[in-house]
Amino acid sequence: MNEHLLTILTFLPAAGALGLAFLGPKAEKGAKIGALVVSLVVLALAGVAAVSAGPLGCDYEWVGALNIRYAMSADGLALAMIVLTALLTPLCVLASWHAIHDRVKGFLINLLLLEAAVIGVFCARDLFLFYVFWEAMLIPMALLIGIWGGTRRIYASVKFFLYTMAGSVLMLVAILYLGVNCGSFDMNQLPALIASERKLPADSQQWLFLAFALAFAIKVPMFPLHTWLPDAHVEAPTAGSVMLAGVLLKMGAYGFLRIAIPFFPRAAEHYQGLFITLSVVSVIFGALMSMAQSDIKKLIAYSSVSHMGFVMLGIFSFTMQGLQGAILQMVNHGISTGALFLLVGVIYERAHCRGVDDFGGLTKVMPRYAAVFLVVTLSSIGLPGLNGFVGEFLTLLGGFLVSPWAAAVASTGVILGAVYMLNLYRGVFFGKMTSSKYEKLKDLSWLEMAYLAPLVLLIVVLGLLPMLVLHKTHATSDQIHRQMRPEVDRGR
Amino acid sequence: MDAKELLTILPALVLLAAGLLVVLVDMTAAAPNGRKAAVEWIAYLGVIGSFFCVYWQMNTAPIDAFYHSIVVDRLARFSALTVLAATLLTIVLSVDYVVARGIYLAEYVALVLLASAGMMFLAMSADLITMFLSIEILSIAIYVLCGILRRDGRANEAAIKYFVQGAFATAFLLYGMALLYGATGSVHLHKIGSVLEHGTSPLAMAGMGLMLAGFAFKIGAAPFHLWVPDVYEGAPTAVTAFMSVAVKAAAFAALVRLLHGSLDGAKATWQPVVVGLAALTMIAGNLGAVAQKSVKRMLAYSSVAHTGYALVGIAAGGESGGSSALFYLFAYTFMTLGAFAMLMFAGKDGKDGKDGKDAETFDDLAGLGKRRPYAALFMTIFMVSLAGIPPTAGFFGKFMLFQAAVLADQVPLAVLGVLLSIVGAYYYLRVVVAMWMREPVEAPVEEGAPEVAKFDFNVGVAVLVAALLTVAFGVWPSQYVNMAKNAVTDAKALVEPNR
Repeated sequence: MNEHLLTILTFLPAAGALGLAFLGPKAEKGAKIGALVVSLVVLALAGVAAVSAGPLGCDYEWVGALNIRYAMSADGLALAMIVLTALLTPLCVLASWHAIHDRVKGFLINLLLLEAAVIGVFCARDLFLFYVFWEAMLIPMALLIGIWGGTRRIYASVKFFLYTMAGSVLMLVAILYLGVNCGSFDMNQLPALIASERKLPADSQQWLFLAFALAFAIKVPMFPLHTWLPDAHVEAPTAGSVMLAGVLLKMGAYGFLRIAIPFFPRAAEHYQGLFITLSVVSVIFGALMSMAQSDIKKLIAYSSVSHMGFVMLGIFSFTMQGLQGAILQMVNHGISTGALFLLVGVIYERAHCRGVDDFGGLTKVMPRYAAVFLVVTLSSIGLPGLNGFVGEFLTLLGGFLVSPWAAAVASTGVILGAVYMLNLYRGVFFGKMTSSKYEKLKDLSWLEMAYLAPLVLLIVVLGLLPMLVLHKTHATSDQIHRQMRPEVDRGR
Repeated sequence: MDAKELLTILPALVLLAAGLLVVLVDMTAAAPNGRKAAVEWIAYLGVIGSFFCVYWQMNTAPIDAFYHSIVVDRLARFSALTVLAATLLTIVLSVDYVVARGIYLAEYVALVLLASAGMMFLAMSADLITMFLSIEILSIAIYVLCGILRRDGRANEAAIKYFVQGAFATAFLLYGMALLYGATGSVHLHKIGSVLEHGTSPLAMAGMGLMLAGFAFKIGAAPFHLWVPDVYEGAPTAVTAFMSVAVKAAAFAALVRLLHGSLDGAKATWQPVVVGLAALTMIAGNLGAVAQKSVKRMLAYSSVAHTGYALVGIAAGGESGGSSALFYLFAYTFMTLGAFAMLMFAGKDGKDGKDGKDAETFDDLAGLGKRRPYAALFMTIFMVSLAGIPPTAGFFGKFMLFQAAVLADQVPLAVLGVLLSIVGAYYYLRVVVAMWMREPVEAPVEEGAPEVAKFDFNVGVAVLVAALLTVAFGVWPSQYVNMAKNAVTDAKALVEPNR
C-alpha cells in the first residue's frame, strides 16, 4: 500500500476527471457529487499518508534509453503540501456548488486535473517527472481562469500562462544540462552527484541555480516577478483563486526547498543577499500595494505577495528557525488566504461587487459571516494564538539571526499587514451601510459554514499546536540547514 | 537482381500495387457507389498490408539490395512506419471530404499512395540517384495533389507556386549531387562517406551546400520556407495535412542517412550550416505564426517552426541527435494531422453537401467548446502537444531534441529553442482561447446549406485516434525512442570500412 499510495493520490483525481468526462451533458448534479466524493477520498488517503510511519513511494524505470525514472516519494514537507492540496480541493468543489452555472462538468474536470498535477509536483522525485507535473498544471489553471473568470479573464489567463511558462522553460534547459552532465534525473542522488562531480564548474552551478530560481521565483511570486498574480487572482473564479493562492504559490517555495537550494548550496549562499533583499522588498511592497487597493480580491492578492515574502526570507536565512517557520508559514498562508478568498466569494455571490467601500455595517445583517471573517483576518495579521503568528515569528527570527536589518524592515510588514486587513474589516463590517439593498443579505448558509469550518478549526488548532506541522517537517529543514552550514555538522 | 531482392522492397511495392489497382478498379467497376467503396478498401488494405510487411521485417538485419542503391534497415523501416501512419490517417479522413468537394476519389487516393511509395524509397535510398528519383516520385504526386481542386483559384496558385519553386529546388539538389559525384567519384553514400572522411574539397563542400539547400526547400526550412504558408493555405486541407507530415518524415530520414550516416566524417563542415539553418527556421516559423489571422496559415508557419526544432536534432548529430529528430517527426505526425483534421471537422457544409468550407480563421473556431466540447478537447490536446507541454508526445520529442543539443555542446541552440517555445505557446494558446473562452461568431449561412455541419464520421475517427496516440506517445514513449535509436545506429553502420 505504501508503495503505491502516492501514485494513487496523484492519479485518483485525474481518473475522477476522466470519469466525469464520460457523464452526459445534463448530469451536473452527478458531476458535482462525483467530484466531491473523489476529492474527499483523496483527502482521506492524504491523511493516511500523513500519519503512516513507513517510507512512502516507489521507483520504476520509465524511459530507459534516457535514464528517466518514475520515482515518487514524500517527506514531511511534501506531505504537508499534499494534505493542504487535498484539503482545499473538496472545499473548492463545495464553494463552486452554486457559484458556477456554466459548463459545470468542465469546471470540475479542470479542478481535479489541477489537483492531480499539483500533488504530482510534490511527490515527484525525478526531475523529468517533476517538470511534467509542473507544466501539466498550467493548462487546467489557465482554463479555470479563462473560461470561468471575470471580465478580463482572457487577458489574465494568457498572461498567467505565458509568464509561468517563460520561467519554466529555462528550468527545462537546466534540467537537461544536469541530466547530460550528471547522467541522472534522480532528485535524491543529484545533490551528492553535483557536489562530487568535477565536471560541473562553479559558474555553471550558478547559472543552473538562477535558471531554477527564476522558475520558482515567478511562481512564488517574488518582487519584481509578481505582476501576473494580481490579474490572475482577481479574474479567477473563487475556486481558482483558492487553489492559486493556497497551493500553486507554494510550489515555488517548495521548489526552492526541494531543488534550488539543496542542489546548489554554494550558489544559493552566493545569492543569499539578493534573495533576502528581494524577500524584504516583497514583504513591504506587497503590503503597501494592499493598502492602496479598493478591490478586496486584489487586496488579498497583494497580501499574498507580502506573506510569501516572509516565506522566502525564512528560507534564505538558511537557519533552522527560518526554514521551519517558512514551511509553517506556507501551510498557514494556504489556510488563511484560502479562507479569505472563499469569504470574498461568499459576498461577491450575493452582492456582485467586492469593493472595500461598497459595503459597511455588515455585522448587523451577517453576524456569522462577520465572526468567521474576523477569525481569518486575525490569523492573516498574525495574532498570537492563531496560526499566522508562529510562522511569521519564526521566519523573522531566522532572518534576524542572519541580517538584523532585514528582519527589522520586514517586521514593519507585520504592522502594515494589520493596517490593511483591519482597514478592510472596518470598511466592510463596521460603520454605516452604504446601500439599503444590502440589508436583505443572507448570512452564511449551511453549505458555506461546512466549507469554512475546517479552515477556521485549523487556524485555531495550528495556532495552539504548531508542532503538528513542525514535528513532521523537522527532518527536511534539518537536512537543508546542515547542507548550508557545514560547520554545524562538524561541530557535532 | 533476383526475386529475393524484390522482397526487400515489398512494403513499397504493395503501396504501388494498391495505387495502380485503385485506378484500374475505378475504370472497370460499374456502380458509382461500389466504386467508392472499392477504392476506399483497396487503399486501406494496401496501407495495412504494407504496414505488416514493414513490421514483419522490423528487426531483421540491414539488407543491401540492387547493387548498393537500396538499403533496408531499421531507419528505413522506422520512417516507413511514420509515413504509413500518416498515409492511413490521411486516407481515412479524406474519403468523404474529397467527394464532398467534388474531387475525383480514385485519382486522389492513387496519388497519395504513389507519393507514400516515393517517401518509402527515399528513406531506403543508399545512393544519390535513387534518392533523387524518390524525391521526384513523391514531389510530382504532391504537386498534383495541391492543385487537385481544379476550379479553386487558390489551389491553382498553390500548385503552380509549389511546382515552379520545387523544380528550382530540385535543380539545386541535382546540381549538388553532380558536384558531390565529381568530388568523390561515386554516387554510393558509403563510398562518398569514406572518401570525405579524409578531408573535404571545395567542390565537395559546394555539392553538400547545394544538396542541403534542396533538402531545406523540401522540408520547408528557412530561408527556403517562403512557399510553405501559401501552398499550405491553398491546398485542400487533407492534402496540407499529408504533405506537412509525411514529406518531412521521409526527407528527414534521408537527411539522417546522408548527414549522420554517410557524411558523419565531414561533420565539422556541415554542422555550423545546419545549426544556422535550425536557428533561422525556428525564428522565422515562430515569429511568422504569431501574426497570422488564419489558423491554417498559422499552422503552416508552425510547421516551419517544427522543422526548425527537428533540425536541432540533425544539427546536434550523434545517436541522440538523429533519434530525437526521428522521434519528433513521428510524434509530430499525429498532432499535426490531428490539428489539420480538426479544421476540416469544425468546418461548414455547403449547398447539397458540395463545396463545403473548412474552418480557417480564429473566428471560425470561436465557441467550438460550446458547440462540440469533445472536438474542442481533442484540438486542445493537439495544441498543447504542438506547444510542447507535457504530458504529450510533442513535449517528449522536444525534450529529446534539446537534450541532444545540450549533449552536443549546443546549449545556445537549446536555449533559443525553449525561448521560442514561449512564442509558440502564445499562438497555440490563441486557438484554445478562441475555442473555450470566446463566444461563437455568427457567420452568414449560405442559402440552402445546413446550419450545422454534418458529423463527418471518418474525420472524427481520425481525430480521435490521433489525439489518443498524441497522449500515449507522451506517456509511454520508451519503445519508440528505442526504435529511433536503433534506426540511427543502422544509419551510422553504413560507412563501416568493411563494406
